[in-house]
Amino acid sequence: MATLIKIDHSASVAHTGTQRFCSRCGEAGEPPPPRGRPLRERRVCEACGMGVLLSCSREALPGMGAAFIIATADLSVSAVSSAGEMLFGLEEDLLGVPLVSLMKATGGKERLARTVASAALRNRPPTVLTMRGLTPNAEAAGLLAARISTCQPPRGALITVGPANLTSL
Amino acid sequence: MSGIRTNAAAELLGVSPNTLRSWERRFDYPKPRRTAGGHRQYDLVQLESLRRALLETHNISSAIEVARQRGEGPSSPSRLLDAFDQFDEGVADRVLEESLAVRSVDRTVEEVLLPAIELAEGREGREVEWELACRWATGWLHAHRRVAPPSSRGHGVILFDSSERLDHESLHVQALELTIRRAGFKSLLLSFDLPPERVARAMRAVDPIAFVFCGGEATLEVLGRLVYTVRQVGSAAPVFEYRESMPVTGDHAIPSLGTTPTEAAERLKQYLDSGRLESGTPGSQPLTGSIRRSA
Repeated sequence: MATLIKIDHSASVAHTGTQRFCSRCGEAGEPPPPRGRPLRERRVCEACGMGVLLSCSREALPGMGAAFIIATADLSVSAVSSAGEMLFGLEEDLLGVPLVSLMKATGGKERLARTVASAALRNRPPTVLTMRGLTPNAEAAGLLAARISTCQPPRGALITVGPANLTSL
Repeated sequence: MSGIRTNAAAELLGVSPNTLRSWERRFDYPKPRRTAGGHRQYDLVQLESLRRALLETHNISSAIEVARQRGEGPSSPSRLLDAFDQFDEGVADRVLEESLAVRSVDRTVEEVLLPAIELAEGREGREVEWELACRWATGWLHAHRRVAPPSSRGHGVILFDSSERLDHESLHVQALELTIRRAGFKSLLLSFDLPPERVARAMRAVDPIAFVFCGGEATLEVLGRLVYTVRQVGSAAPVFEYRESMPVTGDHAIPSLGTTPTEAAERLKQYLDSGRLESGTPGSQPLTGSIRRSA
């Protein structure tokens, strides 16, 4: 069967444009080790010691102090940044909570659900949706922009939230 | 119990000794014993369990929770990943054999094999380990497919696989076929791009009760051609998609079987028993709508 003899190295190739970041503080991690050098990658953020280092495409990098949430393919929250806590609540209260209970896209709840699920299942380029928060603090922030992209490992959807009037999130 | 000092423990986890002590204060884990001189002595099993859990989660508190609950554990995705990274197929075999002692084949595939493949994917400088993982997983799935019990339901399902290479998605498709077979269906896994006239012969032979599009690389053009062929042959069997395979965004008319093999098999059985699908998980596709091209 033809499908069994071809190996997909495109994922690795695609990762040449990736950057690591901390799932807690957003600090960019050290670049991945050079190709062909099998060493144990650092998994925990050196800066805060409270987040794990994940990879995402460079254009999706949240940046230090960014508000973001990481969600799994079943749309439950699996991590929240420190800044994200100010909008959505404490991480310990949010882990496992359905993402759709925290935000809704202005284009409809289905659109947010499908975009997030898709990003959590396979590598997708970043998509920006306008949304509103459903928690008191996020609601008070008004119209927001959510940039949805893929991060890993393990694969999840990285949802970076910022003011809707900023073009570059 | 074997124990190591703080600096060595921190080195093993790739963190600073201060971070390790802050986790102890905040989470009470990993919890060291104290020597007569008052020095911390960490349990190696706890540390190894935490090291593996850190690979499987997106945040520290979840990793600690997983490590605390699992302990050394019978088998886990990260243990299987370790086996791939050591090029040790014997250990990989053992990890899944241990899993089969406490889990069904379907749960072993979903909770250990597929997550391990996902962890192995896309790591810089680990392309060879990734290839080994894919080939080994393919062999394992095929071995279990061969010993799946014969169809008890007598109903056929045709799966159209649009994954072009041996990758994570292609393994998901193979896992789906295995689970569907184990659920009692006959299955036929075909490439997405086969000429419709050849597919028509298979449809007449299998007389499927459902068609499933899977693999993540479907195109609307080929989908349209296949659906046309399905209807030309006279089959009224419904068409489903699996794991967001369709190249569309927004509402569309192809109902989803979900994102995991057991969810898909359950929903197929449910469809067969009741003639309709219930709404799925929050990430699943809706059952009605109109097809739109992706932006």
